[in-house]
Amino acid sequence: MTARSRQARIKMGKKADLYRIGGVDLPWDPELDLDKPKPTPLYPAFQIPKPKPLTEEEKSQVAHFRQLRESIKNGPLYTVLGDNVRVGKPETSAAAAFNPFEGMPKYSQRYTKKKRMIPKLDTRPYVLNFFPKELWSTIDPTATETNGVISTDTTGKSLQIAGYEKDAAMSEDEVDVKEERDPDDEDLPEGEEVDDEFDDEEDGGDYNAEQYFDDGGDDAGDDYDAGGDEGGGGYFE
Amino acid sequence: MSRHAYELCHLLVDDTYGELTSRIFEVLLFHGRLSLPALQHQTHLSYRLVKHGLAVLIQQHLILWYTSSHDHQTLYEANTANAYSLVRSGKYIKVAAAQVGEFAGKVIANLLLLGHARVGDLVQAYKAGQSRSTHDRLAANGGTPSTPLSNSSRHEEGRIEEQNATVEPIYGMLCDLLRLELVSPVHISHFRSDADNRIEAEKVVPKPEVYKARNEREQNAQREAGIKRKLKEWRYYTHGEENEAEHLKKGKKRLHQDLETGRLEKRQRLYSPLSQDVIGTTEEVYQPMRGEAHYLDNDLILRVNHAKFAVLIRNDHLVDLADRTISTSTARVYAQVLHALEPQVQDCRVEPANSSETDAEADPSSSPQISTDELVRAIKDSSELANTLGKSDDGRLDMTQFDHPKKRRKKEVINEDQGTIDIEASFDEEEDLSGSDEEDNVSDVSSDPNEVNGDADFDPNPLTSLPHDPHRDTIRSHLLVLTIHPFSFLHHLPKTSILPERWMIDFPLLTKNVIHHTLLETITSRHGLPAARLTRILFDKGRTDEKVLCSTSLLAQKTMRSYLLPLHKAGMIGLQEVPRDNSRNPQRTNFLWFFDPERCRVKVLEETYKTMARYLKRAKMEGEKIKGTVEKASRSDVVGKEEEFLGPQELEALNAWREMDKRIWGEVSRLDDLVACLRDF
Repeated sequence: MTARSRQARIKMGKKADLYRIGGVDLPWDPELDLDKPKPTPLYPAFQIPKPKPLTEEEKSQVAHFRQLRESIKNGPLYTVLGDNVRVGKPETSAAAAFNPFEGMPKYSQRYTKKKRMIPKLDTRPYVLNFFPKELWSTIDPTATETNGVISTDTTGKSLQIAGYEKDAAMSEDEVDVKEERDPDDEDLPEGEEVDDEFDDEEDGGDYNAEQYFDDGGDDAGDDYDAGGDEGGGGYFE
Repeated sequence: MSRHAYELCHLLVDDTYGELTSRIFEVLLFHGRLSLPALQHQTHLSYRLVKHGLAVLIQQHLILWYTSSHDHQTLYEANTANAYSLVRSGKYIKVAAAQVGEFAGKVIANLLLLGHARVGDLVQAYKAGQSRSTHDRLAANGGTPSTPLSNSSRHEEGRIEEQNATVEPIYGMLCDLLRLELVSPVHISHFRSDADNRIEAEKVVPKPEVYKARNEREQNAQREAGIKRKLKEWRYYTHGEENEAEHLKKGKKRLHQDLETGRLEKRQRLYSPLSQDVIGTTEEVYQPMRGEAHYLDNDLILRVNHAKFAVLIRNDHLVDLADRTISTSTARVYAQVLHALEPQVQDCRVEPANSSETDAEADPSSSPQISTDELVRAIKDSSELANTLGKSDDGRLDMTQFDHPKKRRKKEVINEDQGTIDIEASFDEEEDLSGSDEEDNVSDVSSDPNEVNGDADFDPNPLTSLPHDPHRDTIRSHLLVLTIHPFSFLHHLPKTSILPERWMIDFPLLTKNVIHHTLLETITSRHGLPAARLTRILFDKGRTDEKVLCSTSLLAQKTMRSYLLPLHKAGMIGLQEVPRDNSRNPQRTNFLWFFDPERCRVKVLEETYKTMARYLKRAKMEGEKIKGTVEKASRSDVVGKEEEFLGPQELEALNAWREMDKRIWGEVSRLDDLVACLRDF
């Protein structure tokens, strides 16, 4: 019997039966107003400090920043790694990565922005001297240790600069779309572009849900092979 | 740098250049210097991917590398400073556009996009772009007709002219940017860390035995100086570099010639409407310059000069501060001073030339200065400044404030002698004061008798001529206001026999004051005004007992504690326990509060990095939420036709996201202002 209940019983006197059940004192006070001493709120009301709206100058700064970021993202250096890049780890199969809601091949997918897994380095000239020698072959396959000063073979390569790169990117995309149908794409060691599910045509596979899918386009009747083992064949959201 | 700073850098690289680069960068941040095999092992990526990622990071100056000559192994290291600068790119573009022009902003944007680039390639790209697109780039620069330059539509003669004209602005602009140091030539040392640069410099600089000196210590000192010189040369890519970079020789020489000789002409050229060139009116005047000094060597390699941009951002900050603490018109005068001093300031933080000068008595002649006359010439119109300062105040400017304490005592005596000051004759009075000030000054350095004599002869002439120039006086009074401000925006160097009256900025002192002010502002906004007052008392008095603090701050002890404890909890102030005896009994211990600005600075900086990192995460999260819509909006058939292809809900979500993104980045850029103030200035 706790001190409180005893006290309560004494206080209430005759109404003592309220405080006991079967002659045993209740260990709590049944008339206790639980709302009286308010518990401290878990999340007390808090006035969130609101920052001042951006000034015109800041707005233009941010606009410049976002524009630059956008052009970097549209440029050849921005990369998105898939899940399948880890060396020494079994790849997630394309079936496991398949998104049943968004992953169906659609005609409009040809317009989606390409996601690069690996930066496209051969679009511009480089100053090889500023790179360690072990990277020279990566940057410019034609470079040797002797012609190291400046990449001499700059024919057809020019810097893509903002303001113009829109045209460049567009034309590049067109090329990519054409290349998508090239059969020799499969020779590449690792997917050049993540987004090449259109190439994922391969025979085999016992059951194929997409057998019945007909998009009416070039790929009509082509099966999507869920078990395809192409490196970059993962669906990417 | 700390964990939060690393996280921020990683997020910035991730946001800007994507996952491959950010994964490599993260590993480098986490593990320090790594070789390629180690990097491959740690990133769990294939060699091909790692090499490609490294190429991108080096091109964008985000990592440093060094191939040791012993074992020919290349080690890579993250360049956190440049990675942090990614957040400032918007500011850089804005600053360049404001300083030089819209076109300069675009050139800077392109250089940021490209990392570094050869002049030749850059010009070619612009040429190609020019002929391909209908951009009205030139219109922004000088009024060239912005008609599309399709080769077929133009007749032959006009086409050639046009070709020349299209190359012209980019060369001129690059020259201008080089002259203003907004872009700088790239040197291989920019890809190495400081320690590696030091190793290389030690190889280049002759051995101590070569130097002619009395003893070994002096030899070492001379060699040390030689190494420092070499490092500085590499850093700013100045003279003496010809042996190192044979292929750039030509370009450099031309460049320097260009910088020294054709400054004025170039500017004229640049801003002259190029359409006139085509017509042929001013063609002859400009023709000789073409192909000579005006053109940069095509093999010169350029990048954005972060250090100079920091200087410009600091200038903006200081002007803003002057605007807030003094007045707009004074701030405008100050802006002119800073602008005039700009060419002399290469870096925000300059370490003293030799260690013996580190004390406060470092000679002022080494720091950037400007004379009153130069400044008066620079400010064309002072009519708006004229009535912004109260006249009576002008006369009573207390010139003693910026004197040496010893001199101040003398001055007080003089002022008492003068007795009443006529308020109307304020300008004369001020001159008198400054005159006496100069005499004082000279008598103090009486070790040099020549100066005393020279000054005595020299003094009266300018005094008689000066009061008739209200333009000069107005500017001067504004400058004096800046001088007596507690931040010590300016430092006044009185006229001597050789040199005219000059003004200089003691940047280390000013920076210290500004940082202190910023910290107090931060404390005020977080913990309230009394907390800031307590902090100031602590700073003023040093380590203070609670009782003393209580009586000084005129606060009840309970109230005071309610401010001190949150401050202590936030790490802004510290508490020291000094036991009175060996028992270390709390009863017999003195508790001393103290405020350490340096510690507080690091703390605030740390928190700012953390906040910025969280903002970036939030921005990413917000993008993730409506990923599908954003992706759809970036489809090549949808871009530009959002209204047509997207549903109303999608449009709404997209716009909301864009607004959110802008706000988040705006806040990040504000936080960056704080970081710049606390770290870079």
